[in-house]
Amino acid sequence: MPLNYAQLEHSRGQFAAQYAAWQAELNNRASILKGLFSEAAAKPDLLRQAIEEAEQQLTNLYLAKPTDEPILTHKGLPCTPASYTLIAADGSQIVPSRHRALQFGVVNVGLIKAHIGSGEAPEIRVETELLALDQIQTAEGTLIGEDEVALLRDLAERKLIRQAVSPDDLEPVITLTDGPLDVFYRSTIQGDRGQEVQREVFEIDQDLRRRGVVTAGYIDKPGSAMLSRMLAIFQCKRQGLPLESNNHELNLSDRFILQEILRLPGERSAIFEAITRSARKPASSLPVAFFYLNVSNDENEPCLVRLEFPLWVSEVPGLVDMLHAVIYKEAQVLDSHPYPYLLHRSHELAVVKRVEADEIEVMLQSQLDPEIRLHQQRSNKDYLKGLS
Amino acid sequence: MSDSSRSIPIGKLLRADNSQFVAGCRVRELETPAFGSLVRASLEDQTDVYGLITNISINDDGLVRQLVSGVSIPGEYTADNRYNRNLPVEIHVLTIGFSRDGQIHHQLPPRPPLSLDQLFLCDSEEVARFTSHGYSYLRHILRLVDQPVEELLVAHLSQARRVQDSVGRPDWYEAACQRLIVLLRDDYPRLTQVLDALSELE
Amino acid sequence: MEQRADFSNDNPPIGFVTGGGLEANLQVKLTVPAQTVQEGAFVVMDSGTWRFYGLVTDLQLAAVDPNYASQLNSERFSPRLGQYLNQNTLYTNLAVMPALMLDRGPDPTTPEYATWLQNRPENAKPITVKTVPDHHAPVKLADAADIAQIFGTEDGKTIFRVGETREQGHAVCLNLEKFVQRSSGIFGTTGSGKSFLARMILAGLIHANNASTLIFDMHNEYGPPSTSSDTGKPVSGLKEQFTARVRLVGLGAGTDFGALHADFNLEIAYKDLTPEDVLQLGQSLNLKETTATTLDALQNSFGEDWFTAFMQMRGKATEEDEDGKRRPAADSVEAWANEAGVHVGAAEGLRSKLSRLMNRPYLVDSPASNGLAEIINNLQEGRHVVLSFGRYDSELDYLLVTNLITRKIRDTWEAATSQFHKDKKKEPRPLVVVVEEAHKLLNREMASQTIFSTIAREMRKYYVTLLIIDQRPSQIYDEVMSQLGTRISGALGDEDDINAVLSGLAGRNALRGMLAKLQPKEEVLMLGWGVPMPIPIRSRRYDEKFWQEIHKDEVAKPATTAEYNKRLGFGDDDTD
Repeated sequence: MPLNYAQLEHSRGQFAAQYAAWQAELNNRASILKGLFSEAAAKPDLLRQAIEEAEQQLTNLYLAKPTDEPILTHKGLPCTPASYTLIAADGSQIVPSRHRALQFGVVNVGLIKAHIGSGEAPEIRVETELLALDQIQTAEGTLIGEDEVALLRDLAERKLIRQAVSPDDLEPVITLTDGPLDVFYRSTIQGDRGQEVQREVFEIDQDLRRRGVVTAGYIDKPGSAMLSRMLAIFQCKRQGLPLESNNHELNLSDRFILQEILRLPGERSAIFEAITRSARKPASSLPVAFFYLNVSNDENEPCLVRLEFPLWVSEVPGLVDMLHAVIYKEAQVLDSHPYPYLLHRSHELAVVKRVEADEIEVMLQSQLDPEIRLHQQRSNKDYLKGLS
Repeated sequence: MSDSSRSIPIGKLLRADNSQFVAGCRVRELETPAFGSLVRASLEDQTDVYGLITNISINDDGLVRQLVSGVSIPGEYTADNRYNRNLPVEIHVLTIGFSRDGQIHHQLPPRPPLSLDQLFLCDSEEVARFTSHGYSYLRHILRLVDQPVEELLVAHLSQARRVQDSVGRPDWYEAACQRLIVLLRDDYPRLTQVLDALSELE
Repeated sequence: MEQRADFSNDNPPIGFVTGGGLEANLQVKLTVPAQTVQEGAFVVMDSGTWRFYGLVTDLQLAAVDPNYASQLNSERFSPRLGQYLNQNTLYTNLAVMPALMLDRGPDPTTPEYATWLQNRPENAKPITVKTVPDHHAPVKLADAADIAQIFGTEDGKTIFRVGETREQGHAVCLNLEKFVQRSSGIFGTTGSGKSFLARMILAGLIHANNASTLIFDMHNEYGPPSTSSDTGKPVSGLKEQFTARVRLVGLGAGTDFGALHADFNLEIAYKDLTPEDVLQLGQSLNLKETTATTLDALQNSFGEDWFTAFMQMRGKATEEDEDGKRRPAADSVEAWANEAGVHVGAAEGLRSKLSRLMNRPYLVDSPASNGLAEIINNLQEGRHVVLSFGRYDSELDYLLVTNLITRKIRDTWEAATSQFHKDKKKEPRPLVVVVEEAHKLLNREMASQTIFSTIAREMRKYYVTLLIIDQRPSQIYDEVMSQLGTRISGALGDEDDINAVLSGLAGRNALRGMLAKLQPKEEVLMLGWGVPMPIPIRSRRYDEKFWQEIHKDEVAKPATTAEYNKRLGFGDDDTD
């Protein structure tokens, strides 16, 4: 693929200048936010009051709410239990495309379960679900989009996790998925279908809670600004302004605020509750909490990730410490690029490559009546893409 | 064509030429094949191609490389990489002869085996049969360069000797040693290396 | 030499030809342990239609790569591998001196073989090698038949077994007919078993009776019984074993040998002494250059009685003449010298020196019997004479007597030969003169004066040859040595002696080492014109068993002298 390097050469000086200006702006925001964070820490009651008021007043919210722990908390690494069960699941999907000869959707979920302390090789499962035709079509007759397939995938992950948990598992049992626990944070799904999925997820969550299973979501390189939104509310409250969480001038990833607090490898932040208010949010869902964790093993290179778990976990003594220790240890397996090993493995199991997608298509086509097959043709655009 | 029912399948052919071939298997299947073992690939035209395992290579990938540098890896994850992950082990085989219509030949086969042909480990009876037709196949081993020829000879002779002893031909090994000495006596450094290695068999 | 029906040889091959030629030796790679073969082994090689016969002259250790030889393989590797390695990388090369070859015809299983056999000359003999066997021709140790093919099969007479091959003990024979056709020699250092060897050969000669033998027995070893210096056991003499055929002659009156009496004694009359006999004693008597002139004058004055006359002269005798002057006495040397015109001092000196001869008891004015003539008669009549010197074993006695007798013999045989050439009636009986301590008679200084070098060179024509026995062959005049047809030698230590024995022969270098390494008292090397090819053997023991075998074969009637002579080739004019 040819590139016009002369043109790039011309622009790159300009780009560097822009980038430097933007970084200065971010630094500026960070210093304001750090100041606010210290202030809020000094006035925990005012902060709590501001957030609770915002919960009452605003319909669209996605922010952090302090728990009983002081927000400046940084907690060192607790002891890892001698044995436990860690289950990781990840999914990938083939999104139906009108460019393909056949319109079909596939959700592929890989799950890996390790009994740490048993010495046995982990157990792996792969579930490949061909989506039914009515699942991939909307009421309007168009093909469903990426988000909807992702939702189906997330549901499949949860279902497989529930299947995988067994009474024989070593206690405690932790499940790990990639991304936020709340499966709706980005969903634009219209209609009943979303509600249906939500019900299923809620049911699964409740079931797992009953069985004492700790479900956790791991967010690598988190970009969300839940703390800065929390501080924006705090600032409005302090200044006596109407409460508004979306202050563009204060928008900055939580990592930059906590980076200096969680300096030591293995340290976690205070536990916050994740507050979500949205028009589409289903009525019943499990409250979610989170903390930030420095998974680095190098003091000079902190690496913050967000770990989400059901709020009830924070209420059972010892469970947060156990989760803290297990996730840190798990991320250390991959050493210089800390990331939970089993989560990587479940991704490896789940991922569907393009050639595999093509193979599935051929498989499906071969079952079709020849007469029907004639009318199913791949778009020329898709064909030509495959050539390059 | 040999009776495959009693032979142990150890992998499938990845690539081949007339003088050597490579088969792949999974780590979990790796318990049976051993360096120097006599193996057979059965072709569709009733030809069996015989060879010796000259190398078994364990492949890596990015994840394994990443794990290698990890400070502490739980035993469970080591097992995961060995038994769950799809990293093929490559079995390299040196072709040393073939059989057709029940007749053993110690020349190279007219054609190599094809992709995905099954590779079998030869049982004692087959080892005895192949090695009972003189020693001319040793020349294929001696032709190898940049490979541990001495070790391969020792591994093969030790297997063949065990088999030949068990079928009542204890002089097979002695004659093999003598033949090797004659083949290699013009290359003093190499012969002494081979004999050094063979001395360990005594 | 025996015709052999086929050329089978069931001995396993010991190696194969890898190189070499006629000039240098053939190279043979040995395929059996080195100790299986010894230097001097007699080997055969079949190639094409020929069988080649050769002699191992050297064994050399070799290796595929010198590194294999330079370390102890059985210690570096396991003992078994070390052994295999040695077997396959270390070997021995034989140097084989090719000597003879014989056409063995086509493969006996083919029809051509019968044709070949029919057309084969009756007396196909091995010939000197003229070509070489092919590469890889198998080499075998010769078997008994091979050796018989070359050296003949013992016939109890002229084909006389002298010993066995060293490795396999196959009989090796000497053709005595051929042996006596030319002068021969038996050599060996003191203690090499030379005199036993000589006794054995002499016994063979007397038994075969192809020729008369005259043995000058200086040390009384051959005729009378003696005692072995090694074992202390009694050793048979030739006289007691061949009572009728051998005449034992004692030198001087009353010479006797214990219980055994001499057949007769030899006393030599003064008149038998010739000036020549005196002249060749020049060294022993320290004679001056003038001697010949003086002797000449003596003979002129007194004829054959010169010695008696000379001895009766007085030395410094003077008498007074009528004038009262002192002058030489009429019976003095001086008087005779003056009269004969020879130098007085020289004559007086000679008279004094010759007085030593006067004192020899066996020299007498008139012997009781003519022993000299009797010896010659006996020899002419086909008997054998051992002349024992008894107590007269000084060099002077030996020189005087051997020369005197031998010269008479020469005269007699020359005369008989010319008579035979004239009237073709009676062919002379061949005669072998056996001389011990031959270097005393045949050294460089003496050779020109004694009769023996003449015999060695020329007397073949007159039916007389020499058999010389000596421990210092290098002391013998080399012209004489080179005339020797057959040489049988025991161990020799001195380089010069070895060279002397080998003088004039092909393959000297190869044989030299062999000669130096012979086992004393047991092994001898036969070589020269009289044997088909050189061969080292374990010599036949001269013991009770030997005599039993000899007498068992005693044949009734020998052929007539004339027949023998014809077979021996005597009387031919050619002198080679």
